[in-house]
Amino acid sequence: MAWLMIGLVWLLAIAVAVGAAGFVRLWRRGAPARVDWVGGLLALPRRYLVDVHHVVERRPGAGRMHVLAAGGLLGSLVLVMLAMLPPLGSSRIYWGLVLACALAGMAGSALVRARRVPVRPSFLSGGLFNWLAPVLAAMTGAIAVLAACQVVLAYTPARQGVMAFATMLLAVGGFGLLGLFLYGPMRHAFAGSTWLVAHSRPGRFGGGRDTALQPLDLTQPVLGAVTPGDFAWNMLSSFDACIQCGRCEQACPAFAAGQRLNPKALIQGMVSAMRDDGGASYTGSPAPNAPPVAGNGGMDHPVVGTDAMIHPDTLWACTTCRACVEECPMMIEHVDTVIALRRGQTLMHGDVRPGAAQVLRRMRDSAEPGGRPLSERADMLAMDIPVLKEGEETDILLWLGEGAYDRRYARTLQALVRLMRQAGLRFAILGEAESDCGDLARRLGDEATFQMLAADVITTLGRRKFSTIVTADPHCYNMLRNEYPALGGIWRVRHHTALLDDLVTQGRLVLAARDLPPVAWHDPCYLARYNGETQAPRRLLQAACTRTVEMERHGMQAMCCGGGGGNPVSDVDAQVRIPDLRMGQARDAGARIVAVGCPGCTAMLEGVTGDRPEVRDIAELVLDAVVRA
Amino acid sequence: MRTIILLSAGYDTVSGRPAPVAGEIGAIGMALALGGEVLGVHVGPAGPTMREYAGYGLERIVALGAGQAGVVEALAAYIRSGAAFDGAPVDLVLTGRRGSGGEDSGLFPYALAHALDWPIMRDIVAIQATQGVVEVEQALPRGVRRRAHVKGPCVLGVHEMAPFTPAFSFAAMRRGEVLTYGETADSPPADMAGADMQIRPYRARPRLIQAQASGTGGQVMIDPTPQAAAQAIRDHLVMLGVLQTGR
Repeated sequence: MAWLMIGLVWLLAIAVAVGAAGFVRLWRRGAPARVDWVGGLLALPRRYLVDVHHVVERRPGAGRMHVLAAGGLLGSLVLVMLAMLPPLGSSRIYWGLVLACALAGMAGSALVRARRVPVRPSFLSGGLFNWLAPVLAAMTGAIAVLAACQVVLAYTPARQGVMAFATMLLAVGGFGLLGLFLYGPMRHAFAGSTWLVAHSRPGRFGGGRDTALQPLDLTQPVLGAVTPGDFAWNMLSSFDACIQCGRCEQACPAFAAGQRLNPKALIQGMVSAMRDDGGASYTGSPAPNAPPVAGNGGMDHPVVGTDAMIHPDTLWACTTCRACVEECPMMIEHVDTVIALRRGQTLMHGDVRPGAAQVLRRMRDSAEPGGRPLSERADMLAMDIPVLKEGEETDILLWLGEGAYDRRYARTLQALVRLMRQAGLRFAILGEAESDCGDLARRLGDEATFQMLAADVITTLGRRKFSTIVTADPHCYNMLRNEYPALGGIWRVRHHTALLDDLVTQGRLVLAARDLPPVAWHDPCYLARYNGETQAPRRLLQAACTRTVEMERHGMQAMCCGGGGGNPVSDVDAQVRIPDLRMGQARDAGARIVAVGCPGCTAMLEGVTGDRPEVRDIAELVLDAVVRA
Repeated sequence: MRTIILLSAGYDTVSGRPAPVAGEIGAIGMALALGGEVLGVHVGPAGPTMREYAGYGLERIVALGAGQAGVVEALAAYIRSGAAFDGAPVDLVLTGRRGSGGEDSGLFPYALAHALDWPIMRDIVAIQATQGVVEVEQALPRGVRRRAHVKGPCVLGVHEMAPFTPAFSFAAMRRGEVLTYGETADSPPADMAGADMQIRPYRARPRLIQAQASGTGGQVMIDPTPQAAAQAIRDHLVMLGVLQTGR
């Protein structure tokens, strides 16, 4: 009887291998990708045990559940397969080890069940996921009985009956497990391992950061992704790697505001599109308020559209804040997925929202998203700042960005300029020569316009000499620092919070902390998640204000203001406004002042009506705290 | 329907960079909405702006060389020759409605209509074509719309506010064909580029009498209730024909 059970496990392993080969065949219908196989395979244990578990264990319960369930099941199955080896099959110590693994798996399956019983939280999926705990329990239970029989019941008369029961349990459980592997949650075990080996951004592992969008070769026949087959094959494996844990959904500002995006449903939409299953397999929360779609799919069928799998509204609701990517334990690249699909819509079909179409046209024709004259950029500052002409040289080039046209944000820039003057820095602006850096076009998927604008900027800056670019706009900062190098624009770029922090630390600016009502720092997505800069602004704030508080979501987990990714120009439907939610969080933290460091956040948060905390740029707070010489 | 759209090497009024002209983009959208064969024609060398017009869904653009003839004459001859649509006659010429600072269509549509001896109308915001008759809607000041019928081939200046802006895509821009026709298409024709123009100081001109829209002079309401004010605005819009009754 024991041999029958060991044989069943081998049979299951073979069936799983055949199923996995089926997944590989499906993924290979995607576009080729450059993958470092040797490096990836060698790094797999570390990527799984360190990087993935670092994210998983942000929720201690989830980490324990996964270690017990996955470790118990996989460990006991592999060990049982090894029972074929003669010295092991007869060793009580070996069977004791199997028993320990199986018992751990049983404990894990109880924890899996506890996640969904009695009430399934809205962020978890149902359907086949409800079978996960029973199947795990059956498998590990059967193996536990087998192992127990080998250890203690070896010579008792009841052994035959118990083993027969265990064999049946194993057969049923094995059948269930195979089903869950082919059509359900267990797929993520193989797809996830593949994705961790062949990840499109290997730089993210080992505590690294890689957030820059990849440049697109505009001579390719298909630009971006229109069908699932247009995605690189490793991205296709990443969709199958999704275990639908719903953390992205909980972190997504668009989902929270009732905009028509749920990152989890988006990834599952890709899974459905790959298999043309009509989207019926998805049992989690849908994108809020998204109108129904026909649910047609297939590797060569468009993904986005009312007659396809993902509603177009979903695509334009994304603020590209990367909160979902930050929270995903499988390290899935939701934002890359959105950008690839946006590129397909924008570049191949010109199918963008009317508001976005207008902005893109202005960027193409006027080199400025608002269609405002470049010569008027510095007008609101009303300060006599030197303009760096062609061939001239300075220490710091102050990049003003789009915010400069706004009267409110110009006050921030004025504060920054005053501080830079007080510190005795030599700096200049580009004046009329500053054209748009193309962030908005790139986030909206218009890579062609972005590359055109970037070429202009690189030419302009190439004709001037400076040691550092400083900007108060995290979007420009991220573009110039992270995304221009791939196009040949390599400079030293700093955000104004880093510059001011340095000046204070070096004693070139002396601050006396002011006794203000509680101040909370709102981390801009493009400073924190895109560039990992969360400490400098906090040091600065603590030097400038006596009382600082933290919002619950801060640092790498901060919530977006709703202003990124072209969301504000894309006529997005919502139930509530994202900045209203964020302001509510600031209020809940007891903040009376919200300190910001981004023109987008300033505009979005200042747009919140009613009684709310005051919005001040960190440069304004620092200027108020400077002790004049 | 065989439509020719006149394309000019326009400039963006804000940045001064080469850019398509709004009315001509609207003309492309209007032609695509009408259906049938569409051809963009530019007299002069094919600059990068022509590619951008292609991005709005124009599949074929001809850069016409004027040679020794003038621009107007060269284009009129091209239209009459039937070369645009393999010998079939041209039904419609769509243009922008005014110059916007670049080398774009200010007086050109009028000169062309004169040379072809075709009727011309401008400020078109809507169009329908049935059996050789073109039914158009013209935008007058203050939101007034005027309908008109034009028989036979004609030149129409499209209003830049016409709701026909087509989607722009890089793929269409890449796909569009820009062909050259006639001689020396790579240099501006003789009567272009300021050959017979001169720069003079600005001279104050007498004010032209504004085109008067039909309608009464309105009414003055002092401190009305919101309902009464809204009703007055609604009645006025209905009277102008901007708002459909029964909605």
